[in-house]
Amino acid sequence: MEAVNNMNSGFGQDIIYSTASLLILAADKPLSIKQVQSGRPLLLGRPTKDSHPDVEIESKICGRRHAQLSCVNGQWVYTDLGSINGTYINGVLYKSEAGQAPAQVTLNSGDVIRIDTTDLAHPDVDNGVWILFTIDQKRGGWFQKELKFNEEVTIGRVSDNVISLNSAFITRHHAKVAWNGKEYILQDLGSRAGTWYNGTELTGPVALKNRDTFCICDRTFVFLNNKLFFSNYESAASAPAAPAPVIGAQGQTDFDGTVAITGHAVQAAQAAQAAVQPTPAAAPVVQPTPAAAPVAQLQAAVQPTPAAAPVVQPQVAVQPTPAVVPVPTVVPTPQPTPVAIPNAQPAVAPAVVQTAQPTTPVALHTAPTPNPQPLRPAAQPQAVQAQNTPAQPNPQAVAQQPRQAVPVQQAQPQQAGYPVQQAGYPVQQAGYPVQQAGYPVQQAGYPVQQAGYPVQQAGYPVQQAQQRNYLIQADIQSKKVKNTHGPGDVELLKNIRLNIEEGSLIALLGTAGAGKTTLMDILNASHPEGVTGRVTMDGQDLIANAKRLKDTIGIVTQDTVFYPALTVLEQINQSAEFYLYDYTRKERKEKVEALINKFGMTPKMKSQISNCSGGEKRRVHIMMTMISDRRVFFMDEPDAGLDPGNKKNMFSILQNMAHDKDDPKTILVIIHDVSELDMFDQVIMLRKFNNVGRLSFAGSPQEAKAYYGIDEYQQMYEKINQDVDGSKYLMGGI
Amino acid sequence: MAEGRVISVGKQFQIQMNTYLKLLFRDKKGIIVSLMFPILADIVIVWITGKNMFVDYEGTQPSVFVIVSAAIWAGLFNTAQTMVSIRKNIKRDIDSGLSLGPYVASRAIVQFFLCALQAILMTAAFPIAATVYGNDMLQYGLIFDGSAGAVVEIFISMLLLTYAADLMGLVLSSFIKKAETGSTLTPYILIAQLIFSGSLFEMEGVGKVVSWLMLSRWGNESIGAICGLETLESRFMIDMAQATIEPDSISIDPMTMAIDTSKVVIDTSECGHLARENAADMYAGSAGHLLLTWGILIVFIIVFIIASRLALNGVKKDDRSSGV
Repeated sequence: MEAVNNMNSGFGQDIIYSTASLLILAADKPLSIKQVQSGRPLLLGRPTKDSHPDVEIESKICGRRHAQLSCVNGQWVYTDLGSINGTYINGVLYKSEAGQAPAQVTLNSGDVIRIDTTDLAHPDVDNGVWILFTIDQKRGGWFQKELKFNEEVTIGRVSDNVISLNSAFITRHHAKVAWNGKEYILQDLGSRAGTWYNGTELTGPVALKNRDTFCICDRTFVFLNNKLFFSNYESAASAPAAPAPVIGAQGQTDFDGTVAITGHAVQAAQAAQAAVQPTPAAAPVVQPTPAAAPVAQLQAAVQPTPAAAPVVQPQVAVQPTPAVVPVPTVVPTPQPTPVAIPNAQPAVAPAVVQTAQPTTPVALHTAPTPNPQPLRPAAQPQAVQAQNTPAQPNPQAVAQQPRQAVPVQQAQPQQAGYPVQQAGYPVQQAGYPVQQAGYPVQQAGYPVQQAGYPVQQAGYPVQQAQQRNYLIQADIQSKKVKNTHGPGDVELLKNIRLNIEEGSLIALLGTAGAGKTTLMDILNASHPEGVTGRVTMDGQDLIANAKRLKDTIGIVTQDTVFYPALTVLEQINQSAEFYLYDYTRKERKEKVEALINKFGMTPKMKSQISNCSGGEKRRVHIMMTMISDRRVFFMDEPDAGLDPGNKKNMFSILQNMAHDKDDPKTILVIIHDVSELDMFDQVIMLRKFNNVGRLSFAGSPQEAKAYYGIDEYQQMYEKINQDVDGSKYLMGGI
Repeated sequence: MAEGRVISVGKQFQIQMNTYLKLLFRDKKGIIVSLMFPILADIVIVWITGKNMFVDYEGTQPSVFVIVSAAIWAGLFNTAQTMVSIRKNIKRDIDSGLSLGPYVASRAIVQFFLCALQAILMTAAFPIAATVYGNDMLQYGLIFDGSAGAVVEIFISMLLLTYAADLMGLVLSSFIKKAETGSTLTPYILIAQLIFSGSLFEMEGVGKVVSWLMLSRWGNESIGAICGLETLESRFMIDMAQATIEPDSISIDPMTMAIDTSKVVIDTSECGHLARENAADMYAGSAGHLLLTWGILIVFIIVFIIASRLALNGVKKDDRSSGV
């Protein structure tokens, strides 16, 4: 860890999004989990009558404004705000002194924050607080497993493990934790991906000490006070084979002691739970934006920030679900296009979705016109998680009624359980979602506008709250290599910032020599040397943890490489034997046949590869890597040499694999031919400027057309070539 | 790509072996060529050089030379393109963290059996030639007794020689980056083997030292020793000790009292033949000598296996995008 002096990137707003979890363990208090997102600094402190920090620490020893958590370009930073006792982070005291720069430190996944007396030799056992900081996987949650002396806790892929993590790169029986009479011992069971203990690969059994962390690929385990905390994914493909744990009032379960703690994991558990005490939907705290803040008496609990984000405060074992109102039936209208990947655009407010047939754009922060016509047909609402919402007026009845003119409300006294009523906004209706500042007037009958999502357009289908999962986030300031023709270094790339969404098909394009392969080699951690900057995968430093995370990455080379004399089935089987050697024969066979089917090669399964067409051979080559079932694949011109029909077929297959609901893949492809660019979800365009590879554009294909002002994708290159001085189509500054 | 845990080397070897066997058996043309070559060599020996097989030195040595050349040629061509043709596959696999050893081991083991088959075919040339022309087959071996013993010894020599040449081809194909390079180099390697074998020319000085590095030399020595080249009489070397002069052919010039040697007639009908003088050096017919040649060929085999494995390290430096 390094003390941080200045993390201000100076290049637009915080580009790299990150979520983290704080597992807060205070004496005599139940474990609480606080999930935090990047976007604005968060205050950590003790709640009082007058102060409500973002992260509440119920402890006398914690100051009201004890510290600040902030995330800049994916790196979390802890800043002591002049607390009396300071904070211990991994045993090192950070305490700001008057007149000096605030004590700051970067946080990494697994760091332990301890708020206690300044002398740990005499800790305050009643009031000391332990906080475990971890980087979250977007789709998953945290589980907790209490270790018992007589129980051997096995961790692996199959369901006969105590902790079952369903992922292709986790071995059937991967590792185990067991009590040896004196201490808990962690042991790798000859796994494929290895077990990483406190950052280094395990070569033999090791005794676990309090606060130790170990990782299995991209899953993190923390050993704390005889409990194992671990993260896991939540997709259907990765759902644990065992039934969801039943959670009792105090967080105990009757299912092997594994307790879901956070996020989706808890929601899944609640869905399986027979009787859970419904709790009132926690009202999200509204963070008004400075630009939009109406003139009113605002309750200044927290600094206003540009990107408002609801901060959820879950309790132990009972995660309040986002307040969801009944959803009307979707009207078949064109889908709005997704928001452009933020790059140089300041994230003041979510981008308005550009669609084919907008109605009059909804102005922000204005009261609706009197007697507006209902823009959406009344429809049968679907009750969602009714047991967790309090009794509400019938939204269907409300939705069916023509919208009435809503009087502009003057500042009202604080309603218990609701945020401060903002002047200039419609009266907050009890039982309806909280009006988010910075967004159009919240329409009753529509889901809560989520920060970070496109603005809900009236007249369009309900914007489904889709978690924007950025799998890979890159902030590459520079990539240099040794100059083989002279002294010094040669800069190959500069100022490349982009986010790659999970489950998407991304095209990496570029002018000649722009650095496409160089960029790909950085993003897949195969050649990260000479990089200044940061590349994260699920919030974890990809370059620093390349060896551990490499099992999540697959690379498909440009050249088709196989044994022509083998049949398609034999060749894929051979690859499966290499990659999935810990699978049973039956499991491998199922995977191989499923993959061959996905690629449409079942009729040619028993044909020799030498008898296959060029397109089929290319598919075989790709399948040989995809059988490894990684999370993300990098492909170098998979369409090279294919005719247009085969090209389209190829991309269609890749698109299906990326958008697979059960097991989505993230696929980044270097291509030259842009004729099928519409099939891609994201486009990254590089260009060479001043002999250095630079980012010209990153966004959806449709946005690319708007950005370059073109009708055909081929014209992108012309536009770039015409932009000689880089004034138009260059991101990251000259 | 960063390295990491992979399937065990033993399992890799198993998979490589299965794959290579499949590839080999599906290459029917390759198998036919591999087996036809020894058969062609047999035909040459029986038809052209085998008439005086085991009768005299000049009737046996050419057959030995032909069979040794054929063995080296067959072995070399078995594997001259084995590794280079799958260089991109190897590159992809080692980038994924797989080992190079199983590649070499699987090919070496399968080729051993192929070479054994070829050796059997080539060994058959000797008894066939003797039978066709009604000559006496070797009566005993140097280590093993009886005619069968001699045939077994010839087979062992042929096997070691062919296998060593096979692995020499494997080394070549592990070093080169393009298949065309192998096709270009192979004839030169063979010519060098023939020239420095010691069969065509007597090697002395530096030439002799160079010949020690040639498989052909040790092949010739081992098979030549078994075939008795040390003691086989040369058709052209007559033992003059038994020669007689016809008395009537001697005439003395009365004036000069000199014998006109041009008219002297020497009767060599009772003379025997001598063995070649240098044969004793190269074709010493002793068990010790035979075992020495076998030992040297085994050392060659081990060196070539190691060299092939080391040569494959060059694949790691191949450019990923081109595979070469």
